[in-house]
Amino acid sequence: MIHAIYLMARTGLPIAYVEGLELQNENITKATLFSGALTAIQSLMKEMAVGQAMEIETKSSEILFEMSDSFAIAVVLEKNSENKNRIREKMEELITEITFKFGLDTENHIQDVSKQQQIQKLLAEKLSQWEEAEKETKIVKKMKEILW
Amino acid sequence: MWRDIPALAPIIETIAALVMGFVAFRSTQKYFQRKREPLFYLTLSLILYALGVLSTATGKWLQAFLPGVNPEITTYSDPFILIAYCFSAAGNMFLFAFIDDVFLERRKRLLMLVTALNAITIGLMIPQISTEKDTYLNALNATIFHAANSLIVGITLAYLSFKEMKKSQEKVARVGFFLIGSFGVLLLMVFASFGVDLLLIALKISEGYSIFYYLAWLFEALTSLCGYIGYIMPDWFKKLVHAQ
Repeated sequence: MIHAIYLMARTGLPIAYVEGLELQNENITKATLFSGALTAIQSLMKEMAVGQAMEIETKSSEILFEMSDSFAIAVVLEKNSENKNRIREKMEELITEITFKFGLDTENHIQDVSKQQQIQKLLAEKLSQWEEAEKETKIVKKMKEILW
Repeated sequence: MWRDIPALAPIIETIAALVMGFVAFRSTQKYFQRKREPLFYLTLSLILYALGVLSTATGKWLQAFLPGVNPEITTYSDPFILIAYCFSAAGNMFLFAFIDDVFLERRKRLLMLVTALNAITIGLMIPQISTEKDTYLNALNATIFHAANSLIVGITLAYLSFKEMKKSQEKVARVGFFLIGSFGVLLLMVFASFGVDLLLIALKISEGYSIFYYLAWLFEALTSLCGYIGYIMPDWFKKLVHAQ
């Protein structure tokens, strides 16, 4: 299950985010804190010269990162998802899509409400598409376990 | 004709029972290898469908050859058809439990509703079972109710399988879902054809064993075939799909 997708500037400011039903009662403060914390971790890793973090694991979730020169995408998903590699591929595609559709310098869009809304809409579409793909794999996997 | 029964009818039904029995047997074997709950439901439903077909075949043989049967007064064919419907209603319950477990992520209320509807079918059928002439015709309402319930199960299975087929990227999964979806469609065609055959008797257009009776068994044979390949998916078939 995919819990959320965050799109943030490399400075740590959130640009847009969508969350699954179980997280939807939260507010923008949480998104800001989340983006800031992720950026801080990335900066710390860079500072310590241990390399860029590609994912963070908690007891219940995994957070995957993909970065472009000016923005980053973080996807929060259920731990031990079968689809991790597939989601990572989709994140790379999303980076390309956002780069081409909205330009490289996405930090400008923080000011641009209409573009922010478009990105928000795109993220919502992606969340539902990726969720569908997760479900599909679950059914196929189940069928393979029990029958095929 | 053997008494009122066309000679072909008991032969076709016996063959159909053997074929469905084979599919149920292979599913049972698979269950003992894998011991998974949804496969248990599927296996039970296939066994019950096979028992249903066997029951109607038994009725035909009894009607044709049991000594002292006067077809003007007594029928063995009709009560065994109603017994077969009871088996298939029970089969529907377990098939829906399989659908619920695999595709719907255990929506208990829906499963309870479908189970209740099929239990009502059995409740409606049992009091009608008798060896008196026209038993089948007298159970017209219960038969239509059963056909409608089978329609619900068949359409649900077909819709969910075809939906998964569209989304799947793997060849084997696509073909598997297509065949399981076809199993659902053909299952409802079986009941629809029997329904039309019965309706023609009720409307006095036919005396039974119309073309729809034979069509129903043709659909049943195709159902078994799709069931065997779609559910059991033998290795030779997987190789064939990969080779394409």
